[in-house]
This record gives sequence, C-alpha cells and structure tokens, in this order.
Amino acid sequence: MSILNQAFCASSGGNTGIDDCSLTLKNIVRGFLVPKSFEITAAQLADPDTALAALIAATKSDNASLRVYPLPEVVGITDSSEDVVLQTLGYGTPVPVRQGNYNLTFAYLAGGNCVNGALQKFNQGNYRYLGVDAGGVLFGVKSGTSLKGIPLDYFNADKFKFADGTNVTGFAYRISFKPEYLNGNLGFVQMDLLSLMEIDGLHNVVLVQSGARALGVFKVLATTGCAGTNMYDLYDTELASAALWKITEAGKDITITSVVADPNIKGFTITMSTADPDYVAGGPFFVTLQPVSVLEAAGVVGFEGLTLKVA
Amino acid sequence: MAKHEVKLSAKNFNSEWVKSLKKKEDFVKEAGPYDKVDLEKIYDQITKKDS
Repeated sequence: MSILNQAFCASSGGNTGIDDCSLTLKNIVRGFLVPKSFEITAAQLADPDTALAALIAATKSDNASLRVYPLPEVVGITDSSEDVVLQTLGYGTPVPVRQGNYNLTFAYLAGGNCVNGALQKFNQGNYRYLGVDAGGVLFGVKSGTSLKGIPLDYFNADKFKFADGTNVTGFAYRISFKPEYLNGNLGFVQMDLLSLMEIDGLHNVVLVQSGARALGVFKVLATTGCAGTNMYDLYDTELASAALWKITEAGKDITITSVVADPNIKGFTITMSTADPDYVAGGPFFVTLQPVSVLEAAGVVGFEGLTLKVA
Repeated sequence: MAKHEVKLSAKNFNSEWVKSLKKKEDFVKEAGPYDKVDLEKIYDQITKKDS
C-alpha cells in the first residue's frame, strides 16, 4: 500500500482503564540539572540502587559539561504555569491552540548566597531537568528505555530577595518547559527519597598563593569555596601528594617534583622541576588539583580545584 | 611562635620523576629545601619499590 497522499490521522483518545496502582506525583522536593546527553539507561534502571549509583556517578564527572548538578532542597513552589491558550473564532467558538507552558518557581534556603551565585551560572545554559517528588519518585522524560531530563525552555536562578525583618532572605530558581514532555511522555523511577536528598554537588577548592614564589617553589593555601574551610585541616595528608596537583605553563604540563604539607602556614609547598624542558623561570604558572575522580581515589571526596595563577 | 616540623613521606614526591633521576644526589639537590637524611631515605624507598 502506498502512503502517497495519505493524511496522518492520530488515533483519537486512549484507553482509560484504571489499574490498581498508578502514579500521582507529590510535591517536588528537589531537582537536578542534567546535560542533554545524560540518561539513566535500561541497564542502570535494573533496580533503584543501580539507578542511584548512575546518578551519583554523574554528579562527580570529571567533565563539567557532562556533569549532573544537584539543586538545593525545595521549601516552596509557586506554579505560574500558563493556562490552555484558546482562540475564539468569529462565531464565538473557542478552539484550543496549545497547552500553556509549565512555569514553576522553587524556593530554597540551603546554600544561601553561595549556591545562588553558583546556580546563576546556569542561567543561559542549555540544561535539562530531573525532579524528585516527596515520595522519592525521580521523574523526567521517558526516552526509549532510558530516563532523560526534561528539556527546559529556560532555567533561571533569581536574584535573591533581602530579608526584611518579617521574611528571611529569599532564594529561588525557576524553570519553564513544554507540557508535552511530561504529559504522555513522563518517565519515572521509584527510589529511596533519603538517598536522593543526600546527593551533594561538588565543592570548589579555592587556591591562594602564600608568600612570594622562589625559583621552582611556591606555597599555596587551599580553602573550600563557600565556607572557606581550610582544606589543610581536612586533608593535610591526602593533599600532600605530587600526584594530586597539576601545573601548566604556557599550556604545557610542568613536572611537579613534590608537594609537602606546611603546618606553619596550614598550606602546601609545591616544588617544580626546573630541569623540565617546558619550565621557564618567568612564569606565570597555573596550578590546580587533579580531576575529581583522582581526588576521590585519594580520599578527597566531593571536591574540584579551581585554578590559581602564580605570577 | 615555634615552627612546626615538616614531615616527609614518599607520597609527597613524584615517583616517576624520582625514578628518572640518575643519582640520589640529583634527587637531594632538586627535591626542595628539605632534610637531606629524610630525602635520601625517601629516594631509597621509591627506587627500591620496583627493584
């Protein structure tokens, strides 16, 4: 049979039998920003533990563009979703034109201004969204046999609102997406709520030079990005390892000969090989920590180093 | 205020770099401003691991 000149007629309606058990999403308690390519595959969806492991592993990806970013716990939601858009025809007949977009604003407190600043870096990004409801359902879009994030028209972390003596400082982010992605295409997995809520994002490690650089040697202090906790107090033994640091100069790797904890400054002394053919005494040198997975293997779990320019 | 003592271990050093050096003296000279006796012990530790 030819398909020439055959109009596509979608089947009208669907069967409406009600099973004994069905999904009704509860209030959303957290979410994840996920890259377009991220999916929890059929193999990973074998059980809740493997699905959780896949999600957690993605939050620690060495590649920031492939990483899943946990959003803070939601403490309130404002639903400003569009109503169905109708056109009223000449004789007064209303006709649905399209379903209106979901527009959801989530209030949060955890992480405060620090997390708010981090989230605002996603404002022009092209990310998708996975949600978690109060019953431990992880939901997104069903794509074949995989669970993927909901394509967002936008993500926006709002500017914070000042506390005013009656209200605490207000933090919120909002998402907007087309209803077609969820209605009829909803993908979900029943998981353990506590396990989903415990997933934490990576913490930045800020490096600061301490004192002047000598020939092939300089000292750094390492602190966590938000709280400013000295990493020396947490990981003086682990980070005192040449294998956990990286230095480049003019885009080329410079051999690190040693990294030694310095208890006098609560920092680390980094020595480079001045015999390295790429080493030029003038600098500048760019120092950072090795990727997330390398740090984790050494016991420094959940951190990513920022880059310090040592002039 | 009293200065704290810096404790060295083999982990502080780039083992590949250490093994690339021809002599223990080269290591002591280039390893950084640390105690010579400690450095010599560490050199032996690192280079003996593969021997």
